[in-house]
Amino acid sequence: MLTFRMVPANGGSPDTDTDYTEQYILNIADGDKNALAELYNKTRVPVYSFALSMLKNPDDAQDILHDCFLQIWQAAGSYKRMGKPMAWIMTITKNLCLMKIREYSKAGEEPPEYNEAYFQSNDNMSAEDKAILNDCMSKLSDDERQIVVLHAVSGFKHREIADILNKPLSTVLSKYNRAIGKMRKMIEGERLYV
Amino acid sequence: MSDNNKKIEKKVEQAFSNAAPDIFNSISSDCGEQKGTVIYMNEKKKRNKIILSAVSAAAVVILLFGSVFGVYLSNFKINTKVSLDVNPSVEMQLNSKDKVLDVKPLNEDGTKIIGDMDLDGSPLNVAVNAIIGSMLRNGYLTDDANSILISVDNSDKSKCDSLLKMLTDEINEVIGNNSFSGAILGQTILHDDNTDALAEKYGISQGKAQLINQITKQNTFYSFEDLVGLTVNELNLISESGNLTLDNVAASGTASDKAYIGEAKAKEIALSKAGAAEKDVSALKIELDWENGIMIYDVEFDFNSYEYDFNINAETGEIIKSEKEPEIGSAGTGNNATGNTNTNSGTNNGGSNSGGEAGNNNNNNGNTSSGNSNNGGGNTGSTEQTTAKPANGNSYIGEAKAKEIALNHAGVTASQIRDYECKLDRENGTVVYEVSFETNQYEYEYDINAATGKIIKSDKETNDDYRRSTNAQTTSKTEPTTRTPAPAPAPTTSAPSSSGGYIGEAKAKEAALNHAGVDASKIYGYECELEREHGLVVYEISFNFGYYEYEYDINAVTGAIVKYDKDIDD
Repeated sequence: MLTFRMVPANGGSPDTDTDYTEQYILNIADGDKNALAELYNKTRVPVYSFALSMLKNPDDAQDILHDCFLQIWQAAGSYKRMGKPMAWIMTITKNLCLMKIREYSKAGEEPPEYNEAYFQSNDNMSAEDKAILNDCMSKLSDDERQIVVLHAVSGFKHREIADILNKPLSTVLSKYNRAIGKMRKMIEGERLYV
Repeated sequence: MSDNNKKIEKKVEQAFSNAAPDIFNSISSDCGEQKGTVIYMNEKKKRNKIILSAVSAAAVVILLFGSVFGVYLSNFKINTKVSLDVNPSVEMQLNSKDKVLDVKPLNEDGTKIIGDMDLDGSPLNVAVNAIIGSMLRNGYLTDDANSILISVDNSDKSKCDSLLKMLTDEINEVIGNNSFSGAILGQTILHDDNTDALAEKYGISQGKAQLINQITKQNTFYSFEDLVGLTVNELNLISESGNLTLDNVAASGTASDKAYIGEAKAKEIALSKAGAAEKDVSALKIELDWENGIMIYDVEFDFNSYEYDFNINAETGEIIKSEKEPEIGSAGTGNNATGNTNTNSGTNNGGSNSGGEAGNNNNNNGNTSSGNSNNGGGNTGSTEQTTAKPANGNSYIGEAKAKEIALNHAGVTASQIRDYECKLDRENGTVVYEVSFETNQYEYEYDINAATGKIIKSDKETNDDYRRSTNAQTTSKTEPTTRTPAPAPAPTTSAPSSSGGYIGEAKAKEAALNHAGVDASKIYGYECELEREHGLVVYEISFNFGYYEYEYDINAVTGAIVKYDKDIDD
């Protein structure tokens, strides 16, 4: 994950990752765009990944990434220090994703299914990256995928994931174990090391 | 989780990370004037006017039907969690009336125990009866393995206590119907992040993680990882055998060791191997222990001026390790200063080496420091070891690595040392490489944890030749007393800093603390005496810090560290 250092603009002396994230949000509330940039750099991947895991198509996930940071910009003033800034950001992400799903539903449409062609032309990704992403998107259930992404990409503990997804911890643990087992079989099994 | 899982997670992270686009410019340009949108987490409060209205309406409904809702909460809200660990682990969620809302298996054995039982809505005692009954039927609770851990998670301490008592009574009664007695450990879940993280990491209940943490705190030779695969009965046996005092754990009954050969049989095997009769041995000690993945009986005794130490597989009776060495002090070896490689040479290697598996740890060069110890067997030093193989395969770091660790710590190279020796031994329940060697100036001795490579004990002292030469210099300048060994000049702790040209206790203490790298305010058990050691006047300083005990001899004239010793404080 990204590491960073910043001197808080409005007092305090943050000394943990969470403190810094909170400080960015407080500075954003004061209209500090540098803080927005810092927060974006720190959380861009978790936000996009979680959105992708929920919506399963990169275009919608990119929209959510955009809207999420606009929301943060607008709503930073309402953020209350609770020591859970990442959970707050993920809640915004989740709600935006649910709204997106509802939009499809209102329009009488199904959200687009994942397509392996989505990332074919992405030059930032290796062949292994693409294969892993494809497996993750197409072979895991929605719950499994979201749990794996929140744990592996965003670094949330299982207990925190249970809170974010509003599921029992035991469910999160068992689904995570099942999912990581599937991923291991897929990665070690056959084609990713060709 | 395993390293494999970590690798998978890392690959997943990398794949998503590389897939994520960077669109900050677009976001930044769209960030207009802030309007102060309010966002609440976890849908706790209003999100927009429509939801506000809905919430308000719901509030009215709640007010109108408050009593109904209260009943709902008391019936369906989780109030307490109770977990039962044997090897199967099961968690029950209870409402405020102690009725079961849900029963969840926490491991594979737990799933087998629950089977298709539907215990939702049952009173707690009924559910416990059913679960314990299933554990008995499925052979998880037996006369051979009778321990069970009950963990209660509720913020109300008195509620926890009463539930623990009720559950203990209930389980004792159920087990009692099966012609054996249970050994029950009861505890309240304390919730600390470290324990919760370990439970999560290893996929075990919080209760079991908390119990293991307690044991590892009491006996620092165990690590969490060592114990995580053990059943509750094995954990209970270790705790009982080691006389551990576990905070916050109420224990009743005695853990069964009937699955093992028993202390009497272990003793018989060890005595037979040593060719000794019980009446002829002293300091006999037998302890059930967990080492290298198996339960063992550690049998120690003194016989015929030798100390014997056997590790015997507790299930099969196989001798995993046997050691024989001269009793401390039996032939002038009681003082570290004399070294340990030459005192019994030639006296104890009369063909009793059982060979076979012994070859992978001892040096076989036959050259000890005294140069007079060759005895035809090529077995150096004074210890006979019949087995150097760890019980679970080759998990030891190996002699070469142990030597490297010792040399690095001493800050010397292999070419600078002589009289090198290395042997595998067992110290305080831990298998160690005992490494010793000399340089022109010092003799070094190390005990290095054979599994982890951690230095458990280090000892450095001036060697005889060097001591004689310095002694001659210092005594001619500073000592008014004769060179003949005599009692220490004035073994008081308050030797004046100027008396006899000595550096004084304060400076000596400072030198010792600096060397140990510890803060004076954090040590305890500090003692200092002015003594004569081998004709040299030294400040003998000892103190404790953390789990370690430090001893230093500081040259009273020059302030040089003549000897130091760092060891686990027993």
